[in-house]
Amino acid sequence: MQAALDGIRIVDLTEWMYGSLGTRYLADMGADVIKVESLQGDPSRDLKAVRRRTQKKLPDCKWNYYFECNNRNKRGVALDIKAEDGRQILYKLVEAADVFATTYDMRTLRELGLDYDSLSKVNGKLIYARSSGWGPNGPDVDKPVLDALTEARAGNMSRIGEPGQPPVYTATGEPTAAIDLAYATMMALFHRLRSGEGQEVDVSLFGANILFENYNLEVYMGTEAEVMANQIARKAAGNPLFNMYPTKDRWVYMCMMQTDRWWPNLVKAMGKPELATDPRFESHQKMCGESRSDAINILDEVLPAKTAEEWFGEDVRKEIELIVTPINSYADLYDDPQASDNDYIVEYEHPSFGKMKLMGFPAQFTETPPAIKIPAPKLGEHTQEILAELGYSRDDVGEFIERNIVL
Amino acid sequence: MKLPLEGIKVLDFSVWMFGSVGAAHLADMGAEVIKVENPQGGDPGRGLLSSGVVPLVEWNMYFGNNNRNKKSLAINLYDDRGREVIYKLAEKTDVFTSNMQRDPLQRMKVDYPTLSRINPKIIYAIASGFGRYGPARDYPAHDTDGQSRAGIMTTLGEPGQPPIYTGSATGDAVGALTLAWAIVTALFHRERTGVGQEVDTSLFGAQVMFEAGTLQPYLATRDPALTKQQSRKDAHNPLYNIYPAKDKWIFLAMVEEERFWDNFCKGLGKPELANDARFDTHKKRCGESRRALIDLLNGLLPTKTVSDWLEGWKELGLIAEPVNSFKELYEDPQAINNEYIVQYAHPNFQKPKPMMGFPAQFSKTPGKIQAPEPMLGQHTEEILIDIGYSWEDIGALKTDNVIL
Repeated sequence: MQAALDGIRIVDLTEWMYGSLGTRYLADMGADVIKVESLQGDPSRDLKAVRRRTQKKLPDCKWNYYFECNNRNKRGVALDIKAEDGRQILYKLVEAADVFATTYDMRTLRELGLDYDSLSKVNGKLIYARSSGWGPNGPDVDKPVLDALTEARAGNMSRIGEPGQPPVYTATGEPTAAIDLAYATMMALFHRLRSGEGQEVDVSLFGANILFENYNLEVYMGTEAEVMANQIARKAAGNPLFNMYPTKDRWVYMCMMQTDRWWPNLVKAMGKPELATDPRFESHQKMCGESRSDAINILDEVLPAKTAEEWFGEDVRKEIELIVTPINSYADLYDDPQASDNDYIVEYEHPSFGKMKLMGFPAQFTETPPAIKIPAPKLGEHTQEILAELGYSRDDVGEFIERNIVL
Repeated sequence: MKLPLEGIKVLDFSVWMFGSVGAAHLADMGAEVIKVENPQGGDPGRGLLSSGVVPLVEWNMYFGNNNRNKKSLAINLYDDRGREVIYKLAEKTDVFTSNMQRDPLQRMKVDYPTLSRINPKIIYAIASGFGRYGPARDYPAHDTDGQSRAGIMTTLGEPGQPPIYTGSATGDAVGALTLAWAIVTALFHRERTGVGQEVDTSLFGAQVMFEAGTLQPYLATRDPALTKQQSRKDAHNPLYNIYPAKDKWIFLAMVEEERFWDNFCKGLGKPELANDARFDTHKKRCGESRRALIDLLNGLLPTKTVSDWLEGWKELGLIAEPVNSFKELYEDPQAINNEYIVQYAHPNFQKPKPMMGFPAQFSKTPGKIQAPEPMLGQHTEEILIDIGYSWEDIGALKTDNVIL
């Protein structure tokens, strides 16, 4: 077993989730990710600040789960990059690095001499990976941004939920933008391995939220059909067997699009085999056409009588093939072996806080499996070690500490 | 080298969306992607328009988006001669990818043990429904199945409303990006060490991943509030919430405590509110006067359109966005300038086709749509010639329906 990114060094000037989680995916694969923070630290070290930014009533906890999730496996340096000497240290880091990742805005980066032009002079082969809110181009590049605003503008929010209900913010943009950053960085690293050429890559929350919409958006663009862009009532679903229904204890999602194939199985499982020969439902056309409401109403009437497990559990499905999935809550997911067996959720023994459940890894690799080797760094935890690696003497470091250049 | 994946050969055994889009990302970045399809109709996604699932138009935009830049090899994999072609291709293939299940792949004898015997350096990438392991590993799954199990749906929407499916095959989209990331990571490792491997991603895994914002706090605290729907009528900060305007909804996102209030009152055309004792501190606005303020905004914001409101708010530094529909996004210069949406001069049509663009920008090696989606079996002959088959061989294979 090896780490795929062994020996790859990433200077990580990111904050919050969308950038920091991106480099964390690479840290999980073995990259040496050096998180560079100000002397006050990444604002998300303070759960209050995370609450403010996400406007979520995040509960108290003895450890900062947000910061831990986004920054495990990284080493930490605290540096005043606004000071000339601090910047020199950063340049030295960049010189010895493969990737520079940042979520800072362009103006700040230019002012600090940390834009691609400046850093590629320090390291001609550098991969410069930027995560922004709105993308690097366009009229709204500098607009203030929170993920919710980019999701609002991207179009999906207004088409989900029941008609007449408010649009729904899913808050999935940041992790998506993070895997996007990881993807773009790996693509650039691979290119550089073969060509020697570094470059700048850019991803954004807005871009991630657009990518996320692919099916409905691409069909909408191809047809300009309102139905792809609007809310659709459950009761008006185009295909009764591609829809959600309430059972006694929870909702279930049916995904059996070829209705003529699946309807007999479904009605058998529902204890209503006579419906298999009911002329209203004898063809896919009728099922998705004139008899649509009837089918939906029947399911709505019958299914609340039993629980999802009673209707569609293992023993039923052993006899009758069906594609129906109970709609779970996070409480169900917590102990779901499907999540833990695949390491989508993992248990980690934190050296300070003990056993904890963390977001795991989104993919499996047979030769280079990801792993959690070290927890998220304390502020400036590795400053001295890293400065020593760069060739600074203990006296240098002592002086920097005194002058508040480093922590 | 113009594109990062130039010279990389991919055998794409995908159908529908998840695996296809993952391979399309690689094709966009210059890989030679051969889509392997059965000769009777090929990828079922080719039939989407005729199935009535989407409105009938001249171009199958679903198949077109998911398979741009690829070649098509239409071949019968239940015939030894068909498999021989694949095995010959496998010798020089860098990546095998599929969102079919391991069982059918084994029946077609294109499983990992078989292909890695031919080419030990191959990267074998599977995109499944629920993951490689676990009790549901063999369950067929579409996007809704993965998302239903992942838990997010029960947190979305107004309390009492049904759970909400994000739609848009978001698991496919994010799963495809994850698949592409995993493949490039494996390629990177192989370039440095010569070692190939298997890689696994899934719809369920991608959707668990993108819930991190609410799931990680839940995993840490098991606070039941995190599993529930939250009403916008109950938003704990009235200035971070959705409201109906005259023409569409608007998302206010002013999170810093005291910074915006005075200007916001001006922007509402109600400067006197700034002195209203009910609302003059953040604490009150988010506390005792919360519902009153939400009600007030619910009553006031519908009196103007979103663009009228935003026009008046430009100078005041207020932060809000319209809740757009795809209609507006389609023409949004912010999306177009960043190539998140692109217009492709599709050779088969007079007018350019709007398509999904690229997930990232690269300053030296930007992604490109260089070729449209292939017709079924369009490149079969060229591919066979390339690996040494003669025209006679090809004729015989056609006669015997091994190829199209």
